Amino acid sequence: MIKMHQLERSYKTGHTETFVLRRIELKLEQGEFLTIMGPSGAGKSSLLNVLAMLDDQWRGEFFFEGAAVHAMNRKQRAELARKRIGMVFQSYHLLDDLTVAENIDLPLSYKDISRPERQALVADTLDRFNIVGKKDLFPSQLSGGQQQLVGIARAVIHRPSLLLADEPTGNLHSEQAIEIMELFRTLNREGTTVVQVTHSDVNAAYGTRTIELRDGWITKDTGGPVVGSRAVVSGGVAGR
Amino acid sequence: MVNQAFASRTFPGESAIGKRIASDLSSDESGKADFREIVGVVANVTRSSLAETPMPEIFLPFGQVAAAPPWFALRVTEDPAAYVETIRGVVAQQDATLPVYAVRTNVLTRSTAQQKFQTMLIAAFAAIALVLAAIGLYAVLSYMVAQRTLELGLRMALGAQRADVLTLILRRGLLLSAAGVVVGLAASAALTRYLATLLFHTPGLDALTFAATTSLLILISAASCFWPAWRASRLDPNLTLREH
Repeated sequence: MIKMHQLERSYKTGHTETFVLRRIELKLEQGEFLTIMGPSGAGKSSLLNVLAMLDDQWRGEFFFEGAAVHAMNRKQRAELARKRIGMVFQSYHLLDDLTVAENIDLPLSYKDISRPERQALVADTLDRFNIVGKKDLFPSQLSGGQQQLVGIARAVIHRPSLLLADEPTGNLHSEQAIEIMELFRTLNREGTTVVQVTHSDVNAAYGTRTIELRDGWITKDTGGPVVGSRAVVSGGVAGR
Repeated sequence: MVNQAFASRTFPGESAIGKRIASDLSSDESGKADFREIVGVVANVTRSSLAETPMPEIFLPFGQVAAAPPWFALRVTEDPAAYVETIRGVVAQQDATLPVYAVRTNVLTRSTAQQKFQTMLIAAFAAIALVLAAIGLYAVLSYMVAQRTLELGLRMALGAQRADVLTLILRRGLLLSAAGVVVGLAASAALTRYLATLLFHTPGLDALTFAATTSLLILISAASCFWPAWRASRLDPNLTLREH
């Protein structure tokens, strides 16, 4: 489903170039539940943003469901992401002046879908996530767990093949975190490929595979050998 | 002949032509007022100012009743002073004994000078108000974009295209402008009677003037909204979400 080859991301500050992702080699199959772990500043969120196609300043090759993302322009990437990818944020990022139903409808409003069809999809999603009774409430009237539930509902309403989650339980207490992680597991079992960034080993246990990043390098991959990492290719460090 | 003001006041709702009137400007040999028949109605003429209300007037042939020295008004396209000698020559050709005196130039310009100055002053204040409104709108929208950066970045991350963001901000700005225009139009309609003294041959509630002013305001509003909207549409969602 996803293939990255020699993918790198860096930021230029004056004459200095700081790498946040180094020679990333990653293959992800449809239906996997991948966890990205690592210390702060290791490049986890940067990798997630590349996967989400929010970032287009990287170098290397990136294939998504066979399509060469590296050969696409900004608009084509945005279009692909809009159709195939859902994103869940640590801080939920719901719009305060929209109701639960309107927040869930937001991604659909940017698609070429008729209003009745959108309403039907929103109703189905509200029902699926057991939040029908909260559809007219505003985010400020919900608990953190409920807000994240709405965030996930918003991310999956258009049936994406890839669901990305950046520290989805980072702002929740343990009981709510379990609920949310169970939901991710259910979605994954229903066929959605899930990639989460987390610091939590408990959350990582919900996944089927874990990779670890350090200083932009993949240093561990439970799904297979680490290719091109600092541990294996020492020349990578020397070449920096 | 009489003017329209005379005809409408003296003979309201009927034709003045054929009616007989007596005037103390002329009399018969016994000193009685001389009845004359109205043979024509001419348009009203203002003499000292365009703003003056036309008075009822009668016109008698100068050959019959030389009630006052005649005076002539000429509208010329070039420098009026350059015509003075030409006029003296023309009058002298008719009758060399007739003096031409009290020649005044720029009568019309002088008569409307005050109104023109007032109009210019109002126009200047209106222009300043327009510039301030445009700057205000620009500032409000720029502030709104700054306040809602996260929302806009999020919308883009959820699928909004640049055109969607541009439309969103432009729509909000134009809604604000439309609300201002509606209030402004209502206030203008209520205040036009106070401007009536400055208007010539233009009704207070002139549809064309209102339409043109509204179009101008909307156009300037759209121009003020465009730059903040354009900046918003250029936001990098990745950077925006990372910063928040």
